[in-house]
Amino acid sequence: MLKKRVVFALLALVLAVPAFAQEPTGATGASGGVKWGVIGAAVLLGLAAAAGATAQGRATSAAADGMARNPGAAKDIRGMTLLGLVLIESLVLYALLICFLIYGK
Amino acid sequence: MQEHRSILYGPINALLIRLFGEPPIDRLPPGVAHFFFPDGKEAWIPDTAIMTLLLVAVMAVIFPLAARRFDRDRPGPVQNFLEMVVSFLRGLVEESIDGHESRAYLPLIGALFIFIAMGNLFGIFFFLQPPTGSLSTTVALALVAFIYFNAHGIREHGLGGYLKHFMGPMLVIAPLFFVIELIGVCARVLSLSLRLFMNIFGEHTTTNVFASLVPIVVPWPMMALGLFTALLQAYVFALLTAVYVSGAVAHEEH
Repeated sequence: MLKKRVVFALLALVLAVPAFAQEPTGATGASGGVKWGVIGAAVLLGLAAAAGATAQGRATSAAADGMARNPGAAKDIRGMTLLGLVLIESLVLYALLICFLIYGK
Repeated sequence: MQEHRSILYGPINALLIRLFGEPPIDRLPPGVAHFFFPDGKEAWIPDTAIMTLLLVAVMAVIFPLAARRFDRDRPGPVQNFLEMVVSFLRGLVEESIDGHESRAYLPLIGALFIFIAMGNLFGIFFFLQPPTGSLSTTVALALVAFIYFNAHGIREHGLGGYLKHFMGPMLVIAPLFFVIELIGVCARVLSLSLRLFMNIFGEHTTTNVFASLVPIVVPWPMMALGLFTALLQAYVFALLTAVYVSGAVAHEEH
């Protein structure tokens, strides 16, 4: 069953390659070139969101582990967890800011 | 992304234009004109400044009224709530800053928390704009925090002693370390202001987008998230300011 799913996924990827060949003509704007800015902004934000979500997931899971092992320290762990989550999120937001700047230019 | 204006923007600027005429953009150099009158000829006071002044007016009305009804033996509900807020802030300051004088740092850090929390909560209402949704307010707040912790560091250690903290552990790498520490301290202003601005501006803009698509039920999760983020960002701003103050004032025992 797993092998069938892997084969199907690879087939889908291979069949999607012709779509990439269409990209330069599809993504041209009125100025006539490929809009690297928009593509760059989208890739940047996707990567930043993925990395941020991974890091926040790990932080939350470690916090939940700590609170489960030691319920008496829950208040301190919660405070540190919120601070950590906000600091990680702020890095993702810096990427969003750059995307706004690219998009608004 | 179109701009949304608060409900006070039109009337107040119409009143000012009727009183004083249009803003004198033509008689000022372009940079100065854009700095003081960012909306051009249509507004004397931009929306952010109006919302900040409104926030200050609300605080100037609520808190003296609450203080007038202060009763030590039978506190009313408002007093209970405010005492809860103050004790929360005192706990925040005392857990971050060691030393017996940590209470001296409570006024500014508490004021930052209350200003930012109430300012962010303006974003919940449809007829108001959050003042922290603009880079002007957040950079101003971050500069206040920056000047505050540096001033306390200089007061505690003297200017030379405070700069010696930047030199690092060993004298050999002192030039490199000094530059790195200096950049780190200046980056604190950027990070404080950008974090607050992007959180509030992002939530507000996303809520507006959702509301423009489906006005009834769909914006509610984003608004709930905005409510949570409002208080959390205020808490983080105040906490980080307290941490920076504690780092600047700390006496390290070797």
